[in-house]
Amino acid sequence: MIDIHTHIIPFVDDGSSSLQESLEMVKKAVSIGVKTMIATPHHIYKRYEKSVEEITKNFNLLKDEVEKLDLPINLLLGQEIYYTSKENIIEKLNSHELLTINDSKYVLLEFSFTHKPKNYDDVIYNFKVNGYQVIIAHIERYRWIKEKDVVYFKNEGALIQVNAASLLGKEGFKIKRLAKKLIKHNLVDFIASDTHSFRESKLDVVSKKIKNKELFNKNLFESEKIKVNS
Amino acid sequence: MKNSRKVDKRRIDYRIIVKENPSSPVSESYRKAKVSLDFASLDNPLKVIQITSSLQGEGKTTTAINLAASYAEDGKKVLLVDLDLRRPKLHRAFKIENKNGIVDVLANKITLDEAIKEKDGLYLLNKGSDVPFPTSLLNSEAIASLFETLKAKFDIIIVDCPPVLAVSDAVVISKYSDGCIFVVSQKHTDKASAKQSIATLKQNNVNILGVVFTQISKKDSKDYHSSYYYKNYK
Repeated sequence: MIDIHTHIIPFVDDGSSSLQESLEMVKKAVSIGVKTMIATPHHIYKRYEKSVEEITKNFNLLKDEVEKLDLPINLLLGQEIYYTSKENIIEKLNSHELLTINDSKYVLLEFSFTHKPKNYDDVIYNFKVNGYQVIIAHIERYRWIKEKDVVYFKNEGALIQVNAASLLGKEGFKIKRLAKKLIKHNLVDFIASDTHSFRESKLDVVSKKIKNKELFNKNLFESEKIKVNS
Repeated sequence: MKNSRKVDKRRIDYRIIVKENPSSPVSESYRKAKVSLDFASLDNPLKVIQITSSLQGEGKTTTAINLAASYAEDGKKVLLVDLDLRRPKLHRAFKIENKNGIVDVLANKITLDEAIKEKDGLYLLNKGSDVPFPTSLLNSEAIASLFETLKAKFDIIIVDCPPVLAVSDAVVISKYSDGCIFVVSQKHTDKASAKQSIATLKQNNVNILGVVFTQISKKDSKDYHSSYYYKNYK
């Protein structure tokens, strides 16, 4: 399996708070069959703004330990970027102040839980014309999201990620119901853990319940690493 | 909206089909539409043509883009103008972000020359920045005067407008346009909406040049073929 959304890097966001905890998270992933894990620490304007240097440093710290322990898992680096019109995200991606997943064209984007993105019509399109493909993080958690919005975003070229925990009811019944519906209607591309601590990954539990194993095994991030223009 | 759960892999996506696939039946249909307009234009020259429809998603923008491309093919200097200020899409024809457009020109932030983009012989004046009161802007002296300037620079101006039933903008725009093409989707448009829209346009003395039918499916072919054709409205 591949887990595309995790907060395993220590000291950079509200995820792991120690190298030890990070290692526990990675070991847990290995034990449930995850072969590739993408570390996606938060970038939130005016809240989590660690530099790429610092994130990379801590990522490498973790990676080195994992290698020392000979754990059979591949760690890749990305970011979970909070979308806001107050920040020129595309420009920052271009100048490498913000990260795509493993230097590919894929960007893990998070929207506001309470409000539709300001530039709803063109948000995904603008990334596309600049060469980036958006993966929308835990789409089921946005209070404003309806199925027709997901259809719209998919038509615009976005990929859709759902949290494993949502499918187990962690965010409540309504969100679980929506997540299940979206999966049933083939509108979801990835199921990931969004794990912030070693207790949290429910990827294995959910993977047993879902027929479509593609949702746990889509590794798009290592073959064409170059940024493709549209 | 019908079939809201359908992710359509065969979307046209605001592409310039007339350029990408010049010999396709779709492209031919656009050229025929243009020829019909040429005939209609013999007695009363049509310089500014607006494109509207009853609702969203009927193919207005795609029609505007490809009609303009047909004129450009014919050697005319054509400008596409996006006056669907609430849900602009015309900039997608050029695969660019929606920046530095007509709103910015009218706000005196940039010059007209800076705003007009050109690609393969086709010219585009996209919307640009957001505007708080779109209908006011469309009613302004400034835009009417801008259109006079544009008419001097271009042979044909094709204006993408919002749907008639959504807002009154299409009617407002008719004040500085020479005629209106009404787009109807065979797939999505219901008769009542189309009738109501046309009635509204007629009530406001809009010169309806004709109707373009879009999103027609040929059930006898494996692939989804869309053909677009033009009919003189009586």
